Amino acid sequence: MKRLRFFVLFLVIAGCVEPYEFVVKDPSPSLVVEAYISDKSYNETLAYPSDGRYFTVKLSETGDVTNVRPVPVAGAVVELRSREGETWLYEEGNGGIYTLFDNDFKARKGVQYQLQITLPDEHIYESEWESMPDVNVPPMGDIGFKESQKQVYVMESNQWVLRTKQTVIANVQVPVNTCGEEIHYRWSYAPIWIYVAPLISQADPAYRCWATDPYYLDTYALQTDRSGGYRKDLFDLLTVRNERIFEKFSALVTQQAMTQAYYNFWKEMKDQNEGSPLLDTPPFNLKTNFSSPTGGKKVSGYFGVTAEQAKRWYFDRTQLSYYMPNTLRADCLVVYGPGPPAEECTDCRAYSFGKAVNVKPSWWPQ
Amino acid sequence: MSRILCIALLLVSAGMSVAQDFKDILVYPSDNGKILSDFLSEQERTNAVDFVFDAKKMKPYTLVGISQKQRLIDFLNDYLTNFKVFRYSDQIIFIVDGSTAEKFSLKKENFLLFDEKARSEINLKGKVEDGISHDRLIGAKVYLPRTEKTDVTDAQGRFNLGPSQGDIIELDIEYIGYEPNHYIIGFSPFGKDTEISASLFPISRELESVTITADRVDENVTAKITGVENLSIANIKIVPAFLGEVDPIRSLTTLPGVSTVGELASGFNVRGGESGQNLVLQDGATIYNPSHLFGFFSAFNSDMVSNVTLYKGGGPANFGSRISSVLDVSLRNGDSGKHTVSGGLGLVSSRLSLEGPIIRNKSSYLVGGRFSYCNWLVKATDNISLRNSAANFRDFTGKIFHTLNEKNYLTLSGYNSYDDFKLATDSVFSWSTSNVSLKWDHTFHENLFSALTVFSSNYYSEVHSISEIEGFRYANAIRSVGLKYDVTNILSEESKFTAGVESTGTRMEPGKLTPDDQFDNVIPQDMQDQRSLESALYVQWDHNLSEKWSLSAGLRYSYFLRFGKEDIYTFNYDLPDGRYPSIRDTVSYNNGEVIKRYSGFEPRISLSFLINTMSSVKASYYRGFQYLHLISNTSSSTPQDYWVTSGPYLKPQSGDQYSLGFFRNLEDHRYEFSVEGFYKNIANAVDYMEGADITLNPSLEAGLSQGKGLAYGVEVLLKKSTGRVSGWLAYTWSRSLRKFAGQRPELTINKGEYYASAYDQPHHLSVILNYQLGLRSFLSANFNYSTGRPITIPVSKFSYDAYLSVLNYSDRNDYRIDDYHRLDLSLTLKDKARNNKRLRSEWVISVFNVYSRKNTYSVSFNRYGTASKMAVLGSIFPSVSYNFRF
Repeated sequence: MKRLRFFVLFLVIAGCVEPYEFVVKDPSPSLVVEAYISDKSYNETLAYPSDGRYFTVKLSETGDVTNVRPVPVAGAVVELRSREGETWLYEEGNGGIYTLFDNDFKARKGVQYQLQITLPDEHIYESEWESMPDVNVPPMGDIGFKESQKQVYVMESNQWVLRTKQTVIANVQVPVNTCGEEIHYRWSYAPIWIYVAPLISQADPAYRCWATDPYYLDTYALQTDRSGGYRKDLFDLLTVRNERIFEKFSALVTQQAMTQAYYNFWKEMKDQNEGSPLLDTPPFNLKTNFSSPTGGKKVSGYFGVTAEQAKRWYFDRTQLSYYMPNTLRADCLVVYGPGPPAEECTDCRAYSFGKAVNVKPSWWPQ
Repeated sequence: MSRILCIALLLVSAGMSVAQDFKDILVYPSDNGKILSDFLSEQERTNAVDFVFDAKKMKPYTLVGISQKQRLIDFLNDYLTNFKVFRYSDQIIFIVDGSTAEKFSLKKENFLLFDEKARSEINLKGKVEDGISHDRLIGAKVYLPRTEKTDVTDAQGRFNLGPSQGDIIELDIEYIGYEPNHYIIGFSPFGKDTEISASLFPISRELESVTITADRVDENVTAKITGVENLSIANIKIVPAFLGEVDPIRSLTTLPGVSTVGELASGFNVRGGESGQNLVLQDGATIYNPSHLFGFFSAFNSDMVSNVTLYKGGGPANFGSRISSVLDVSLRNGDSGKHTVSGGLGLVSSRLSLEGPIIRNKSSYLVGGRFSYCNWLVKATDNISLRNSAANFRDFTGKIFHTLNEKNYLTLSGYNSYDDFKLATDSVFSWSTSNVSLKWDHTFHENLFSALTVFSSNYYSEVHSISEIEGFRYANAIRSVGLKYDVTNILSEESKFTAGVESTGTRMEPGKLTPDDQFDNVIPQDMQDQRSLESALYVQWDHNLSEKWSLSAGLRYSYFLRFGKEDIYTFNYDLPDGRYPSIRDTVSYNNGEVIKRYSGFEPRISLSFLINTMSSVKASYYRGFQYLHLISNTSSSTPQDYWVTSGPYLKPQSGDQYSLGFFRNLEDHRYEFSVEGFYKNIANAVDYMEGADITLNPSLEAGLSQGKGLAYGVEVLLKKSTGRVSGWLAYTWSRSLRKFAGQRPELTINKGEYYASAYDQPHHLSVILNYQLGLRSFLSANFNYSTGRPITIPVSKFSYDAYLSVLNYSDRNDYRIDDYHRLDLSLTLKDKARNNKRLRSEWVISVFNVYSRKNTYSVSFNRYGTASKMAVLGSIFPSVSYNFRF
């Protein structure tokens, strides 16, 4: 009987799930355009404070679904045009990045802009004429936080168990909407934090670093606002054993107000990637505002013009209402086997959860 | 004295002329050369006896070879070697041909004698009952083998074959599980019978297995309506069963024009239609989801089913509401003579049914249930993901039949089922059905009767996401209550007329989200219920225009109301909100206030031309409206279907179907062949627009696009019903296409061009073979092939901002999954019947998916676009089940 049972089991299991491949009828790639401009120039972004941001256009090609890395597009001519006859030329850099090196350029309200791309095969791709949203966006509200709890699964004794973890949720005050129109907001984040190597002298240049990680908080929040006057949750940070908040954590929160079409582009991208919280949704393609008058390839992506504001938020564990110990030193002193402690315990530049440099940003507070 | 003498002489002379016995009738050599039939008639006149014979067959015979005086009856026995001479009484002799006599032992009860006056045109009618319990037998087949005229006993066990002619009429009566009866009907001045009262007895001896259907052997050729598939339980049982469970729907999908999109598919597809375009009825009540356990089992308990009829179109006018097909399943009545238990034990499910009299010969019950226990398989492993998988189902079916009097009968049927499953996920999918129907059959007189059915159908489905953080239940439901009343008048043998009315009220819950716990992670939502009333008047006329031509025509007028209480949005299409129009305003409708009306005529006509007794040509046209729409997320690997009603933004679907077929029987009806073409146009077919959010969306209707549906194809069937090897081969070539060119660009799909529907499977082949190994054993094989179904796939991807993988999808349904094919085998071994043994049993050994084909149930894509396919049963799956009855 036991043999029979396992035989049947084997049959059930054997037929379950396996990889499947389709042969795509037309494998020729599409052009992907990732671009926006805003009403904040490079010089103005320095005052956020930040390292400053030039407007860029990222050109790449779609790959087949088994491909991991994006394929950059080189040799293109990228030009920004306004209805008023102005033109700006982007300079080509590495990795399909084209940059508009103009410290003072910014989008003006009421002016329509178009991005035009000419690829080496002389096919031209044009965006639709886009402009900033026709609303008066109130000044950006302050960034704050609230303490919270979060249920997460953690591995304990080789088992996933549910645990309640302390967190802080960063939020932004959405100002009262007095314009009577819908405002479509998107918030994105650029985090940076201090990491100190706990087992070396504070005088050592390798003691203190400023760390960044492009994949940490690489999300965005969206909100269509009709009234304002409330706080919008943006992202959360675990507080227990999170070395990012032991010394000082900072996030540049950039707020973009945009047209509804551009907003929907971001919303659908989020939906497609994160899925419905409930059930599967039917597959769909994101909309694009690019087309090729010369009959070039298909285009994915969007060119948007936004009203931009930003605020920098600082946070550390001392702001919590409860005591949160710095566990870095204790963790580094745990002996896991022969040999020295992990390098990041003695050299902050060897930090393993991001890229760390021991040069303080010029705008970092004393 | 003289008076006494006179009286005595009168008595003697009368006795000599009237009371003479057959043995006293003599023939002499001088009679040689006389025509036999004339001679017998002369004897009838002179001897007050009657010879019952077929004058036409007797006509060639003359008296010859009489060398000396002898008794007439001895002469007839010696002379008529091809006939049997049966002495019915002292005055009556039947002379029947030998082939007829071989059908039964010559017993008096096999002969019926009607009054000679009725000879010119007798109306053959009567009743059939169980010889032991005297219960009326419903569905017994009564037919005249010479003319092939057939009738089936009604709810009162009565039949009416209508006018018949002939000197001698043969009559056969058959009923499954009973010994057949054969009758010879003659006419005589001494005849007293006026109708036939037949008693059948349960089979007590071992018979070679026969397939008994309520159809004529030439039904294929002579049936008036095209596109009708009638499956008897005998036919259903020869299709190899998965895990030993006989299944009407699985059997139907082996017929031409009927398919499923694969394992786990709920329901079936008829002639390129959606599963939601099939009306599935069990004793008059709608079953909205006819599937159990990934579609491997259907909702119908085969032990309790009497008959299964599929109309691949709309069928007669008394059916409506759906534009693809009607599946009419009838439950049988319980045995009103004795209590019987039957059931089956299988590896993953079992079933049990009980039946018997409530009031002997007056009312009976039939109750049965099935339940699954397949989880013992998955729980017995250490594989975590498999341990987290589970599947359960159970159902209960019951029926009570009660005879109020000879003209009134009541039938109460009930059905309740529950299903759930989860496949290595934290979500449990479940659905349940609760149906009740009450039917009152009334006979006004022998040619006029009525049926009133009151029914209620409830369907509820739910997704339960089990999570301590974000647990929720997402449910949708449909509840309907209705009644149907129709009157049938048999105008003549050639003409039947039915008229009726029906009305169904429906309340739908399109979606309700309920959090599991106190956390605020899931916000409760409850979409507004939708209320509607669908009513119809109909007439149906079946008429034989001539010996060659017959007509079946019907007209149905349907009327649909959607009413409040409900808030209806008005939309501003110039101001889009995402892909949807923005909501401009809300119009509130009070309870009962009409929101929208639709109505329409639904004609249907079928014309048949009998080329000869073996072949015919049939053509039909059918139009129907469908006011309820099944919205399916066909890309989902889980069942996410729900119903919505027509309304301000969703028009009713309408279907126009044309068909033309050639039907041919071969070798004395042993083979049936048919080829039938169909062309179907659907207006206002429903599909979701690109990027539609079809879950809990108050603006759902604005995200649904309506367009054209087009299906066409050719169906070929070759069937052998008798002999040691039987079975059928069914091949269908068909296309099922859609075209959505909406007024707004968002509602246009695939650039407004025709594209394959999710059910488009151009080639579909089924081969069923049944080989009778012995008296009690047979081997069955089932091979299925169909083209892979269409699918929308990611064809490329790109990185954008924070996301490494954003997918670009193909045009809708632009690709296909692998073709589907599978071979199943089963061996049925029945025990030997004995008169003193009540227990009858059989073993069914089946092998599902003999060559371990990993047929694709679903293809899913992860966020990076990588595809993986799931095969529910990707390997050979043997099983054993034991069925019993006592």
